[in-house]
Formats: sequence, C-alpha cells, structure tokens
Amino acid sequence: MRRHHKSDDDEVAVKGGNDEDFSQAPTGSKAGATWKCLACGAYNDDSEQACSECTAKREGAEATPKKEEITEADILNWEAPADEKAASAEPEEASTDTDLPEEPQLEEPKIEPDEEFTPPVVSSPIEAPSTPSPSPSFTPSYTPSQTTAGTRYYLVFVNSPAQSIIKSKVAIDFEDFPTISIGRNPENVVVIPDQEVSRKHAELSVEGGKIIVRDLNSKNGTYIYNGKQFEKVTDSAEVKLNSLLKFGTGTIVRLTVG
Amino acid sequence: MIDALDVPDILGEAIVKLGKPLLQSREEGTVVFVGDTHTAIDVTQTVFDRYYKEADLIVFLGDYVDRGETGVENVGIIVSKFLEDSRKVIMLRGNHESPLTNPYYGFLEEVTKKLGDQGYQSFKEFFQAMPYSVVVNNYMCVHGGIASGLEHVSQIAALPTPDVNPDDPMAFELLWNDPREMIEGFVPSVRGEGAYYFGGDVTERFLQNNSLKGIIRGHEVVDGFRKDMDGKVITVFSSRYHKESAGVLIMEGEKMVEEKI
Repeated sequence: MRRHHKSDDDEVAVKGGNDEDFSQAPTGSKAGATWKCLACGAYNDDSEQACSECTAKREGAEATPKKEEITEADILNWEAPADEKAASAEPEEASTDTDLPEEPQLEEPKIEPDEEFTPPVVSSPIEAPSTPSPSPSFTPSYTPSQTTAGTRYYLVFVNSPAQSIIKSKVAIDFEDFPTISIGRNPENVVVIPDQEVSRKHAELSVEGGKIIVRDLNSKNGTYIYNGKQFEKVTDSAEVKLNSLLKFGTGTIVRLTVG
Repeated sequence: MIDALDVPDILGEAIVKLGKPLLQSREEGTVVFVGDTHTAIDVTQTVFDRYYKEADLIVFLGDYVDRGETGVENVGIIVSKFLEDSRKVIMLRGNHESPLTNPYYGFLEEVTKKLGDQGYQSFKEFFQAMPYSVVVNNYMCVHGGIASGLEHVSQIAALPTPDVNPDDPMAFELLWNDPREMIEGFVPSVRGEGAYYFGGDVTERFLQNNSLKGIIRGHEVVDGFRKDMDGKVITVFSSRYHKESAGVLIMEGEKMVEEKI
C-alpha cells in the first residue's frame, strides 16, 4: 500500500501554490525582466517595487535578464556576491525557512540559474565533478593538508538544488579549521547554496578521534543516514566515513576520503 | 500548429496503440532520445522537423506537460506523429504525466482553460495507459531510473495497469528515482517519500544481470546532458524553462551524438 498519496497530495497542495519554480521563475513566454527578493528568494515582476511573496522592499535588487545563464565555471569562480551587504541586513532566517512543511516537496529540486548561487565553498577548494566543464581560470589555491589523523577528508555533494555542483567535492581540513562551519552564509567554511539551509546550519569537528556533526538549531534540521532513513540529529552525532548527511530538505553530502 | 481542441480526439485514437508497461525491445539503426520537454513545443517540433525523416525511432522519455502553458499542444504534436507511424515514435510516461503533479505545476489549469472542466479526463486516461520503459539497442529507456526490487527488466511488464498516479511502488520509482554514482544501494531522495537515489553498485549489477549497456533517462534538470557511471547512465533534458540547453541524444550504432537545440 502506498503511503504518500493522500498525505503527499496535501503536502504538494501546501507547497505547490507558492513555492515551485514555475510560478517564481516565469518562463520565456512572459515578457520583461524579473528581480529576485533578497529576503525570501521569490521572483517578482520588474514593475513591482515590493516582493509579492514576503512584501520585502525591492532594495538593491537589480533586474535580472531572462536569459541569464550560469555555468559551472561561474560557480567555481564565484566571488562574494554583490548583494552580500544587503543580504546581511535581512532577518536571520529568510522567510522560505519558516514556510516549509516538515517533509520535502515531492518534486524536482528547484533550479534557478541566477545569482542566488552562493559559492559552494569559501575557504576550501572545490573539485569539479568527474566530467568537469572547462574552467581554465579556476585553480585550487592550495593543496589540502593532512588532518590530525593523517587523512584527507572531503564532502561530496550527492544532491543540491544547484544541480551543477552535484558530484563536486569540497576538501575539509581540520588542521586549518578545527571546526568546519556549514551554512548558507558566505562566512562559513563550507557554504551551501540552498535557500532551505540555515545561515549557520551545522558544524563538523574532531572530538576524541571521531568526527562529530553538531546541528546549530537550524530551521530545517540536520540528518544522518542510518542505512534506512535520514535520522534527525538532535544535538550532535558521530559521522563515520562514507556517512550521508542531509542539511535541510534538499542538500545531501557524503563524507569521504580522497 | 495543432489546435488544442483536437487533442482529446487524437488521444482517444492513440490510447489503444500505446502498448504495455514494458514495450517490446527494439534494435534500430538511428535512434533519437528526447528528455523532458515540459511544454517546450518548439523543441518537440524541431525534433520532428530535423530527425523524423532520417531516424528509425524517436524515444520521448516523459514529462511533456507542466511548467509551461502549451502542454496540451506538446502532447498533441507527439501523438499526431505517433499516429502517423507508431513504430517510429515511442512516448514513455514521466512523473508529470500524473494527477500527483498536474494540479500543482500548471497542466490542470491549462487544460481546464483550453478544454473546459472535463478536459483533463482524456489526458488522465491517456497518461495511465502510457508505457514506463523500453529497451532500445540494449539501453533501458525510462523516465527516472531503476527501482528497488527491480532485478530484471521483465518485471516491468507485470506492473498493474491502469495505475493513475501511479500507486505501485516500483512503477512510482521508475518515474521518480535519480542516479547517484557516489552512493550504494537505494537511498531516500529529497523528492519525497517513495522516491530514491540509486547507487553505482546496484546500477552495475542491474545492467550486468540484464545484459544491458546502459540507461537513458530524463527527470533531472541538466544543461542538455549528464553522464554518470562512466557514461552508462545518460540523463537527457530537453526543456526550455530551466534556461539551459535542450539536449537531444542521437544514437547511430555505437556512436552517440549529443545535440543541443
């Protein structure tokens, strides 16, 4: 017997009307430009001066050309977003964080190819997927050093709303950063480009020779896969090698070596 | 340009020719694979204009509707060609050929606007009669991917029909699962309950057990194409709404050509 139909119908109904990319990122059939709300990420018509989703004022937002595309190279070469200053003035949690039902939406992860993609990493080099697209200007700034255990760790993106970073790797170095902070804010060691990930979402550290993940009271939770399902991390949990971690509803990473 | 009002009639005509959940395997010379079009009628029309005459077979991998305003016409164009030569066009079912998504992603509204309150009924009946999979030149074609519990392709032939959502867990997974080469087994997907990522190990095993070369599927937004597991799993995405390339995969014998339109 399927479990999801009745309940998921309701769930989709809750989400579908206001949170799917079709309504927020109009197709090319509509004329004109859109601008993206800095507070909640919703797309609005260029003629609007306030966000139709969260009523935030259109402050510092620029009209986004319809045909703008983002390439993997853009992500890899990302620098601090121009709207960082404006973004830092917004409330701690964007409204998308508060509107979410507990279960993920039954649909494709959103892809919104525009400036919302914050850099996947700030302090660690990101390695392109195994079939990288050309990005000649991208050179890792340093080679990750060995960790205290003499092991080089990586987080591999298993899933992300930013499809182009799926399969990419982020080196994490516990010698350089004894506490690896993870979140949407650019100041984190590992920056997750996902609206449903909190600004300061979680952190990884080594305690007594074990790698520990600690949830920082994130809005949508941190989860660890137990072989059957993603189990919520209430405070902290040990992360064994090859464990899968889920941040919020749409980002999954795997802890690997090499 | 096809008239939306004509589409229900041709659906009725085509439904009896759609075939079973698993179509008979095919060996063909030149085969064109088209991923999710999601109402992109210009892509669909270009595929027929450019390849229909020369190709031996065109396989559409599902998701013709939702996320745009010309889903009725998009289905209509493909079904018209299917009626013209049903050996030359295969129309697989996607997860968006379903009342699980149509009320929330635009198609129900579109159909109702164009064809009235009863307009959706003929699409619902057509969608639930669509095949899930076909093996072409030893590649399994399916919208999402392999399902947990699917050991042999032939199991798909035994799936219940009609299945409107579908409700069968295996049928659901065929339409909703995604490949992830860096994991093992089947891991719950962020898409929601009942959907999974399938790992590199289970994919290899499945391909070996079925003497298949690979899997060709759609379902995930990519810039035209994505190859996983050393090219054994190929994702084709052929839409416009994601603002990246619409990919069309052309197989000519051993050669695979990726074209973007």
